[in-house]
Amino acid sequence: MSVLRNRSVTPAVSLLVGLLAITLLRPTGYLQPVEDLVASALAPLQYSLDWTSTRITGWAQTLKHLNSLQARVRELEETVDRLMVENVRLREAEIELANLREQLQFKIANPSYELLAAEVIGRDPSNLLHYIIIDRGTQDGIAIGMPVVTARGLVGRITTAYPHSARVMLLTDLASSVNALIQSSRATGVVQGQGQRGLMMRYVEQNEPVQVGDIVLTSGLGGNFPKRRVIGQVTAVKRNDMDMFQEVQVQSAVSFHRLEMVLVIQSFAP
Amino acid sequence: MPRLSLWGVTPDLMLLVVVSWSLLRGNSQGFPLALASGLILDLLSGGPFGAATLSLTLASMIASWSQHGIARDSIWLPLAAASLATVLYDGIYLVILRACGRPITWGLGFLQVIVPSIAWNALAMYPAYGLLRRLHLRTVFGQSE
Repeated sequence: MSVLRNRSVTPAVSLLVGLLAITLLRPTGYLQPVEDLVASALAPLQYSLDWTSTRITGWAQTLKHLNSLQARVRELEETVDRLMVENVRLREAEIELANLREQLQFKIANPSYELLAAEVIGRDPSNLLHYIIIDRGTQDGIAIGMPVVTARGLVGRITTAYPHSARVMLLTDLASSVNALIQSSRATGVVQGQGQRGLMMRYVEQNEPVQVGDIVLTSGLGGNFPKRRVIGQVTAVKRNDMDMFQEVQVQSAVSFHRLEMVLVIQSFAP
Repeated sequence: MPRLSLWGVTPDLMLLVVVSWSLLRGNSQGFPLALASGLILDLLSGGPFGAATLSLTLASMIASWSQHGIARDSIWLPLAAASLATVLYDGIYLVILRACGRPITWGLGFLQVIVPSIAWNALAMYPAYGLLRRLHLRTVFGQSE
């Protein structure tokens, strides 16, 4: 009994008795309300502890792997840079492929032509002249007068040829003129360059029927350009009873400002 | 440059540089610069050889002389110089082209090229003149020694 009277032993014994009571009573369900109350009271504390421990673990992990993370970031940055370069290269390759596909279709459609593909490497610095410079010259068989086309239509002709480059006068140049005909009516005329305003077909007789939307082709007259090459489409017709001829505004089939690749018809001698 | 196109016309940067330098340093330095720039333009152009050199040299000299009465920091100087130089440069170029037998429609050339060029060059002259003025001020003391 002297043991039970000891002050330090009493709480321990009480605790043991209490635990025993809880263990025995818990399966019976009598303690459920108490358990719910304790769980509800401790839930915020539990959440806070969990949140804190998760953060601390995360920081510890970060600190532990700091060096490797920095290396990983560098590696990922390099990968992003490489993929961006690759992406640009692939886009350019896609555009080039589309151009080459167009040119191939043109070649298949015109098997009699001997064609030489050339890249546009420059444009005339003057606003008064409309020329482009291509990366093929006399050493590639380029000669003055050769027609230059794209799969969409006529571009112009070679006016100057150097060993490794050549200058092409575009249809829009004020000095350019091409004998042409309207596809539907076969009316003939001359397509002249109008600078920034595009192309104008002149010397079309007044009685010739010309409609907006008609296709304009090379007539081959004069022998400067091959026959039946597309020049463009009629966008406006100007008739005046006082004039001998009507004037036809033509929208070129080729976008001259966006030219990147062209084809030189080598087998055509003007 | 085609991306800077306004009504199908691009700014004549070479002209602006030459005129700006002529205004800042006088024709003693502007003339050789115009000559060298004109030759480069002629080599790149499909026009008659010498046309750009002659047009650029005359345009920059006249534009520079005519602006003597205007202060170098005046807000109107770039506008006036660029407009006058553009009219002279394109005008002389057109005359040379015509003299060489190229078919030139004066009205078309004026409306399609010269008018939009004046607008473009006048706009582009401000940054061009500003940059070159800074360069001039940084190097002018070494120049005078």
